[in-house]
Amino acid sequence: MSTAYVIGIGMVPFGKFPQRTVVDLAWPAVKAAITDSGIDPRKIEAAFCGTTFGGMMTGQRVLGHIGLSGIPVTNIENACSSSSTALRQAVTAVRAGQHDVVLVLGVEKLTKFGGGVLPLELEDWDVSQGMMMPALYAMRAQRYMHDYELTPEQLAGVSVKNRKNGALNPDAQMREPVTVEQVLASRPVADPFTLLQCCPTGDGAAALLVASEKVAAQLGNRAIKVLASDLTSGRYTPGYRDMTIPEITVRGAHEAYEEAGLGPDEIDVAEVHDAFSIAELLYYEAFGFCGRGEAGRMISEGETAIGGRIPVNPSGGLLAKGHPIGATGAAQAVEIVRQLRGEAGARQVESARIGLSHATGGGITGFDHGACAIHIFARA
Amino acid sequence: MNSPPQTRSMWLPGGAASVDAQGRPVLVGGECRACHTRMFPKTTVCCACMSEDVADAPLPSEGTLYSFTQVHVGPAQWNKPLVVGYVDLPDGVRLFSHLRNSAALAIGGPVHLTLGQVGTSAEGEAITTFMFAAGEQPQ
Ligand SMILES: [Zn+2]
Repeated sequence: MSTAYVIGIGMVPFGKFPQRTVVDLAWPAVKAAITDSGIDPRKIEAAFCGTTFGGMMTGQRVLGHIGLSGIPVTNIENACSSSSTALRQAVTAVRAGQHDVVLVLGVEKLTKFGGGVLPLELEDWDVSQGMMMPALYAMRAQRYMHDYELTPEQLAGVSVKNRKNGALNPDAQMREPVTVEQVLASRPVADPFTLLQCCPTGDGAAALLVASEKVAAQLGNRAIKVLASDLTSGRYTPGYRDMTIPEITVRGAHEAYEEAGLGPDEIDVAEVHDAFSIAELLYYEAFGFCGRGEAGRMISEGETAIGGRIPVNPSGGLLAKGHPIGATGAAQAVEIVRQLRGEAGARQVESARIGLSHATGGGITGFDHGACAIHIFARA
Repeated sequence: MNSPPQTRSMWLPGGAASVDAQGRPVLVGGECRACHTRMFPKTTVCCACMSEDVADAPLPSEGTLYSFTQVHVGPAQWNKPLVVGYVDLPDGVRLFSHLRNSAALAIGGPVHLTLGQVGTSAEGEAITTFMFAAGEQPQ
């Protein structure tokens, strides 16, 4: 199999844009990725579009709007992993030699629901009994706090770190830093979470161009190599399972490290799926950035802050950058590419050479999560 | 078995819960006759082996609370705050359930099956379903 590269990136600042259509949210991200790559848009041979609530033919609607029609377009719904799944499909097509240049797009407009918790599939049993995403993550947090040392202040520390990073990111939805006291004093959502420990509702779009070695070589050394592109789905487990171990991410991380031929010690920067404060901590352990039960210590000691041993979510993560769910995976990859190119400005992780992005989600009965996509990138 | 009082069938599809002659709630799951996997709710096809030979299996009415949370947000039909959690039954089934709010709820603690109103539908109808409460089943 040949190697795939990211040759162009673009995104629009995340936020609340109820007046914009999905098409108007998305096309500027696509155009920015094309401009960034410097390639002729006619060279794009295929497109994968990730969205959960964008509606029928989202990719065709967006691309038709800017003259990119007549190519194969595949629309992908995989909840919070929709556009990271799209990226995986693009990488797979390029590695297989099927296409030389493939566009990846992620877009979501959550303000169309008018706020509140993410609407889940009502056909699902647990959802019919009152399940919602804050409750699912809150039960993980409660159990983790029961089983391991983790204080409410440490949990709040995730939000403090990510809001601090988000304040440095012009594309982030939440740009005000917050204190531990403010986080703990914000209104309760699902115990132990307060509002500032939950990702905000918002809109946004992000895009990437994935290309073959042949195309990347013509563009000089700005291309970022894809070392691993892993997609997995949850294992249906209707009986007992340990909610403090995100099994889908543990498995995905193992697969991704194996594919890249490296381990957690070699990751210089990571964007992980911090939909709620506890999630980021569980993923420190799932990715092997620390041992079982050590995540609280890791956040307390600043090991995952910019400048720490392994900076996590320098973009602000889902908690600060925002989480328009179908756009999230693509936006995480955009951040890692910026970091590896040294173009992350005030939030630049010094001499980052290898970076990881991780998007997982989907609250359905019997699964830890429905889908999980992990990518590992390297500076060429 | 009778239908629980005031229960909207959409919350308890497929006869997953009912009440016995003493008016006490009973949960009915399924057991695959081919591979003996137990499940709740009962489905028409086994999630482990695809067999369609799934028998009714009344579930234990006491279990252990694996985790729970008090939720202050969410769809309008639920009473707020609502308390929900995962209950581990001794036969290997874990189920997600409403819980009766109480300071006695604790991770690892015993819970027992009961009925209760958990919300009100858009049409103003009481939503009553099975739930678990702290402590062992009163005799
Ligand atoms: Zn079976």
